[in-house]
Amino acid sequence: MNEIDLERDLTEAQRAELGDLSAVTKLLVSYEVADPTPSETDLLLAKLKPVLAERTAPEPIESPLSPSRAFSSQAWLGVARAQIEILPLGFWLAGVAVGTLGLFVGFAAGAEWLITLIVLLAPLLAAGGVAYTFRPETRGLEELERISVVGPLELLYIRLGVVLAFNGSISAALMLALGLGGMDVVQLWRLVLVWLGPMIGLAGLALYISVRWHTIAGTIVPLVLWAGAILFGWREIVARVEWTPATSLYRVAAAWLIAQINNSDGLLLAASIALIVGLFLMQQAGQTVMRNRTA
Amino acid sequence: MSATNLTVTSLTKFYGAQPALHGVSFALNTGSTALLGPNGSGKSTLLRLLATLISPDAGEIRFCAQNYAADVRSVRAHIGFMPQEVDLPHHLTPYQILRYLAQVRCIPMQHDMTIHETLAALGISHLSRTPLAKLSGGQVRLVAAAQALLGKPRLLLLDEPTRGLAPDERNQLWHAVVRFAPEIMLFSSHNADEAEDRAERLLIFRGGRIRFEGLSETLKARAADHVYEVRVPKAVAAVLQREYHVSQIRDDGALRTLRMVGTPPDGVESKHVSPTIEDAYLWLMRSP
Repeated sequence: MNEIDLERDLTEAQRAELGDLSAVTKLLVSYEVADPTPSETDLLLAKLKPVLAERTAPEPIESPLSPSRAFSSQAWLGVARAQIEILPLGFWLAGVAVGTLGLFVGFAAGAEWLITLIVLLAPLLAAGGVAYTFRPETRGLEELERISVVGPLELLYIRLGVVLAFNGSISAALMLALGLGGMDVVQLWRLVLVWLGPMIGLAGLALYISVRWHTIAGTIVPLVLWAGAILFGWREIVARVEWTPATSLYRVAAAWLIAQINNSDGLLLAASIALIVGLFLMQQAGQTVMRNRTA
Repeated sequence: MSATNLTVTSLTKFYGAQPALHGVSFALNTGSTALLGPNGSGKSTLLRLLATLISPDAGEIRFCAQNYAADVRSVRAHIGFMPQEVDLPHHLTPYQILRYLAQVRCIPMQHDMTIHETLAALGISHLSRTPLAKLSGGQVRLVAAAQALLGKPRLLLLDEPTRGLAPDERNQLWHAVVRFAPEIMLFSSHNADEAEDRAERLLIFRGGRIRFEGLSETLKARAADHVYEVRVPKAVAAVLQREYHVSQIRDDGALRTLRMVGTPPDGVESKHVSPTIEDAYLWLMRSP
């Protein structure tokens, strides 16, 4: 039997108001409440269980995915924008720095220098950019990317497109500067082909080697190949030019390059072949990615 | 899509001439399933096949009646996968990685909120702007878990999700999984207790084939006659430990109590005990 003290928490004023509570206390104490039977306990627990489970279960999170997501052009743009976001800031700054340097050289040293810079550096920048973008450090992410509505092939080409578009826009800005500066020493379409062919060729080579083997090889092979082409051109210059003490090597080389761009159909043919080979290698890289997926 | 179920029929995968999975078939309805088995038994291969990362050499997978081979893209929209090996770019932050994957997976554009919600569910929202290079291995694994949960996938696949996690991180991960409530979850583990605690069903693999499929209680019931305890002097215990499969050792003064799986050794007094899930797993692995 429990002891009951009804007056315990009352103030003096309340006690005075309520009077003698001993009779009430005696009555309460006289009540006998039976302990619950095991079945009553089980019944109570059964009733409480769902309520308790509901109150303690973590709140579910609503899915933002609709069961059938149409792949809109906005979504494609989102994927392309995402590629920009995951490349480190340094990558973009390096490209912008080269572009700015080109502009500076163009206005300070003349159109010949700017054209030389565009033709010689753009393929290297593109190949380096592609090899960097597809370096092994991004492979872990690649696996997670593959479980998406966008296929691995689309992702490869979107990423490649973003890098090439960036490199292309730097060269395009420099060419625009050439045009605006009135430095029309070359035919623009011939310059574009001589610039674009090797750029796509070396970028395709860098991509194929990086995807197929390793990004280091993907950087070195195009670099060596391009250095070989430049050396070959240099030998041509050395063989054809009559040297005098007043001859400026670099000025002669730049003038020779511009003459080649304006007059050499062989150079245009070589640039066109490089362009086709580059596109073919990009397609082969895509096939390699698809083969790796099913391996 | 129709009612949530996952059906795998005669699934076979070879790596070169080496079979990784051999005619595996099972069907799962809503709920969680743990994949147990030794290394190389086919757990990860199965999860990678279900995640569409690799293609089978034979057999068929259907999720909600949708054949993987027929339209893999529509299936991918519903899959979340956490790989066993996590190798994410170190210069990126958890927020950047999740944002990138949200964009690639076309998760609608309110995903900033989704990303924060996912990171918060895993208890790493305070690290959202810290580059991965500065995070611990366990924290990076939680980021990998977050990307798997991102978008609240209907089919969640986790390959050894708690490997390398501290107890509180493990707890956080499972708590998040409960919150995201995938319709079907499959996870692989080397921890039989964890598998029993977190899954409703078990799929146990050996040599690329399913050795057991069902409830943990069923497996324990099957192993009931094969688990026993012996209490022997320490010198004898040392011999028994070498010769028999001992799942637990307890020192008891000069004596040692061994919990053993298999057939009791002759001449040693033994008593049968109720098998734990680990005992039952060990018994199954030893069975021919």
